[in-house]
Amino acid sequence: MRQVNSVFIKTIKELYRNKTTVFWTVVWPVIFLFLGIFLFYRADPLSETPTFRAGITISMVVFSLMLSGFSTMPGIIATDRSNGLFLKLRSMPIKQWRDLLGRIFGLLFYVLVSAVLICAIGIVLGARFNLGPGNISVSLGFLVLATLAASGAGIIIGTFVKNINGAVITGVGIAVVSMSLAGVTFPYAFLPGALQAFSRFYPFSSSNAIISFMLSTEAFVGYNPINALQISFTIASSILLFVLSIILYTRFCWKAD
Amino acid sequence: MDLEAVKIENLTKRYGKNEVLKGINLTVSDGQFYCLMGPNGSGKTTLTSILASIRDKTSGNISIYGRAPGQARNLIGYMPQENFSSAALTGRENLLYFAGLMGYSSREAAKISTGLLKQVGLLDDADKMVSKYSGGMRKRLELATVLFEGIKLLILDEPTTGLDPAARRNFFNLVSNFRKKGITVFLITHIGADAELADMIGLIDNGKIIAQDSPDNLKRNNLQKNTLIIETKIRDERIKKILAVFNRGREVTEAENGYKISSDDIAEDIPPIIRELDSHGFEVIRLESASATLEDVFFKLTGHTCKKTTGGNF
Repeated sequence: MRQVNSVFIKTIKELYRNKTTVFWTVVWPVIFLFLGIFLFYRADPLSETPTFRAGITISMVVFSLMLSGFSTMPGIIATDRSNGLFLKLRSMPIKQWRDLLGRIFGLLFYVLVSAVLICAIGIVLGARFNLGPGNISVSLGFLVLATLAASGAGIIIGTFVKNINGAVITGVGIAVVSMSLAGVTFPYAFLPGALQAFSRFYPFSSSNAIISFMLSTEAFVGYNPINALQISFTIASSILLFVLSIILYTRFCWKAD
Repeated sequence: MDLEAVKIENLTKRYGKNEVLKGINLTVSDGQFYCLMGPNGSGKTTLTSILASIRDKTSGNISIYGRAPGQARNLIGYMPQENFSSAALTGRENLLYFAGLMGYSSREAAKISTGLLKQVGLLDDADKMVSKYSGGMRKRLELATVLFEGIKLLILDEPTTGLDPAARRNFFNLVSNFRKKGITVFLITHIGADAELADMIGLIDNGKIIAQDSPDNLKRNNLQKNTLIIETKIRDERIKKILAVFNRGREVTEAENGYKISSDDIAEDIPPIIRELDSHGFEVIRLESASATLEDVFFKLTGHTCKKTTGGNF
């Protein structure tokens, strides 16, 4: 536990002290929140409603967590590799999974704090969430699940893309393109049929839809995501991505050869 | 019988068909300062990484205080070539991180980190970000991360690369202090002056240990006592041929400031050299004698590899 805690503290300090990371994963989604509420959805009469604004806020939380997981996590891993830290760790009495757990907890903490901040700004801008007891716990569960899946994606990228810039750019590229294709950052209704199907099963857009459905309104989501198939697929695919990342990290990331 | 800190027998390492280590044998006694020197690509980093349990061997035996490297991790303090400390943390935070990895509680880690910072002379700069540290300060901080209680073997992989002479001296003064506590040091370096500090030096070339002895014995057994550098008014290929006679027929090395030969007795050799060169019309403008260094031994014994890896420009 001490080893995990040590990595956790290092990870959150490194995250918060990196101004670029804070800008792209917190400030940038907040800028998009302003743009979403006051510019992009302006033409939609529903945009004035508080629950619709809550939907935009949740999308920005998912936008933030995806960028954090997909690009920040591989950036940290690639930097540590480039600095020779993994060689050093490999010579020490520490297990890879403990190091990984510390990193994941660090990212989870960072994402949850970012989510609270973005939601608080959303509330200031007029967003109102449906805060039923069941709604909060289910939403929190899917937020954690999406964060673990995003961490998993980032860990896999960081494990195999050795170069720091390469790892970050690969993460940003996959996150931004997949977000656009799956309709995380724009309305589901605008997506063509094939991409609507993708949106229902891509773990991040699906979690986004489920959380938005619970805390805002179906009108914002564009469909009802609360069905056994979508929920079970989202949970299973998120866990699978996360578990796969742990296996790949512990087998390949610290390898010297 | 001395306790063996490191014992390596017939160690080999292959990457596919490429055999990087070809039957390495070496022993390091407890408390000894052992230095491994070798040209780029000679296999020294591979050997070190096997010792630090970072890579696996292909065959052979290796033990650290009687244990396999993987079982001796809590006895090893390994310092890789790279600056592995986090630039985004302070010196103290870096040590707290490594103390946590070693399993110390927050309270113990705080106490130990302060002690280590004091030992490496960084207590006053402990709360500065590492990004503000000089190269020498960063190396001292990283040295502190390998000095936790229970560490018996320091493996230092080219720790002074890129440091100025003062920082290098400072670093090795610290290492000397820790040696007094009985810690065994295994140093990998290219720098002859650093290797001079060792009790024993192993020269590795092309995956084999080609010489192993104390610094004095290595110099005594592999070189003449002195080197003579002769600077002439003009440079000419014929000068090398003339000087080769005085160099026991061996090829004369061209140094930046003249021609370099070995000499048993400088006082006896100088007059005929000057006479001979003068008779061929080459005026000697300066003579300089230098004691043999470990770098000379290094170049002599591994010269062919250096020529290969540097294109002959050494």
